[in-house]
Amino acid sequence: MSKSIYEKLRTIPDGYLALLSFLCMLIPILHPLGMPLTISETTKGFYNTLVNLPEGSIVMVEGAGSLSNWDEFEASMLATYKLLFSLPVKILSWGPNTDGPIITDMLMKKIEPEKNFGKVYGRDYLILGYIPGGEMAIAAIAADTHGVATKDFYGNDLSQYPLWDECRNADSYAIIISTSTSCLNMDMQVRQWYSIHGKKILEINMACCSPMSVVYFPDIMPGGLWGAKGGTELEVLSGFPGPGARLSDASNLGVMPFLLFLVLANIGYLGSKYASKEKEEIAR
Amino acid sequence: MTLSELAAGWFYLFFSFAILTYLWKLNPLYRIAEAFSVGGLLAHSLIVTYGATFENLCIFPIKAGQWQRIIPMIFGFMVFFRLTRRYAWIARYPTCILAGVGTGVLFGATFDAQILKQIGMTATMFQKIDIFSAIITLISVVTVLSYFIYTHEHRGPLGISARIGRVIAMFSFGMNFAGELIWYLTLVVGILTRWFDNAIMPLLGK
Repeated sequence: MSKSIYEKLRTIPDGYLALLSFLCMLIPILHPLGMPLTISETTKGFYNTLVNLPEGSIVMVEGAGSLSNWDEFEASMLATYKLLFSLPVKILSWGPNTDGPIITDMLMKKIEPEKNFGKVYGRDYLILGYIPGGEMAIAAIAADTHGVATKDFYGNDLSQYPLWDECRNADSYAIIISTSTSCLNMDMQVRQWYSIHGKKILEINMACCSPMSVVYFPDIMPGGLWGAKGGTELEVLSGFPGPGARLSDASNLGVMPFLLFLVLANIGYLGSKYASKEKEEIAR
Repeated sequence: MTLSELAAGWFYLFFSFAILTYLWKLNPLYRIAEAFSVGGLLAHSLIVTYGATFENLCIFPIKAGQWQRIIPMIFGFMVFFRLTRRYAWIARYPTCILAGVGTGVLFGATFDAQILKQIGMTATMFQKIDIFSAIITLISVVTVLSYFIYTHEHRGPLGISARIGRVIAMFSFGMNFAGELIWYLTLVVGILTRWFDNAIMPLLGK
């Protein structure tokens, strides 16, 4: 017996979906489209919090982004660092995982803060290495930053840098920017930074983690960037273009076949249900 | 583009393609890429952790006169007794300390951060977000909570509320999965972008 049109719609092989999605993603990669973008409240909050920081504030960046999820973070982190370097604030960065400081170093090589923003390493920004311990490391840094590191990421003695003198404990930092690949990251950050020290947190995380983090918006977390889309939004707001537009255009187009197939499968499902009911009535 | 950059691009293309061949079936190409990846990551983690933990937190401070750091260092070494059957019990002491400190650090602020603060924010959200979003949030919180009431049969008003709560919870899970799909697609886009930018296009002279 041949299949009805509804049955055919319900059983389209998923290989076609993958192929169609792949082809859709290729278009913006080969030829950027510049699709329209609405800027979310959380990105606006992220931007506004940073641009309104008082002059000379120290921003702590917890760089726990992972190289395996690099494409989710690159746009957000590049735009964030560029924005920070364009402001009269200082940055202390450290890595709660082994990838973190490497990513920060890669970003610094791309951004070139000395050349492009006139910032001086050790005076305006400082990169600590990997500090093990997870949540305990955060608690230790908040209590006594000098107790957790003696050398920076490049193996230089930290005592020679003027910025290191200013980084004592949680009171030294105006805001925390936390990057992470964990959807439970904000819970940990809030426990250690907000509940104990009253520090607000901005988050950079993967797209799938936004529903878990957004519960802290806007009181505890004044803003956040999730996935390449968040990065693209900050690129637009801050005026520092980067790789985000191409990435989010491609992933947005790649989603289209999924939506199309979702509609087709539901038409197939409802249609075959209706057809089987009709058959039953005729049989009666 | 230099020759080394081009080589790095093709190296990336080869290994990412080899990993993706797993979609077809388990094969030697995938196994080679997997072994490279696991081996490389392990070596990297070992070196970084040695530098960050042993040198940065123990050796350098001790050299600078912070002798008290010898105590945690000894506790750290005690973990290695786990490798012997006879003295494996010694490893329990540092493990207990680690678990105790970890629990203390975590537990102290959990109630405040994840229960009190969230209740407070939900109660005061009408002042901070638009009225429409606030009403949706309020309905969601009440109905989803009612879905998890198991001590009373889901009938009457509770049944209606629980059913609405279930639909809202499904919306929330759907949103999570949608985010996950976007995440996977972004990673695929990243791989494709690097294939074209660093390996294929330079060969075509573009």
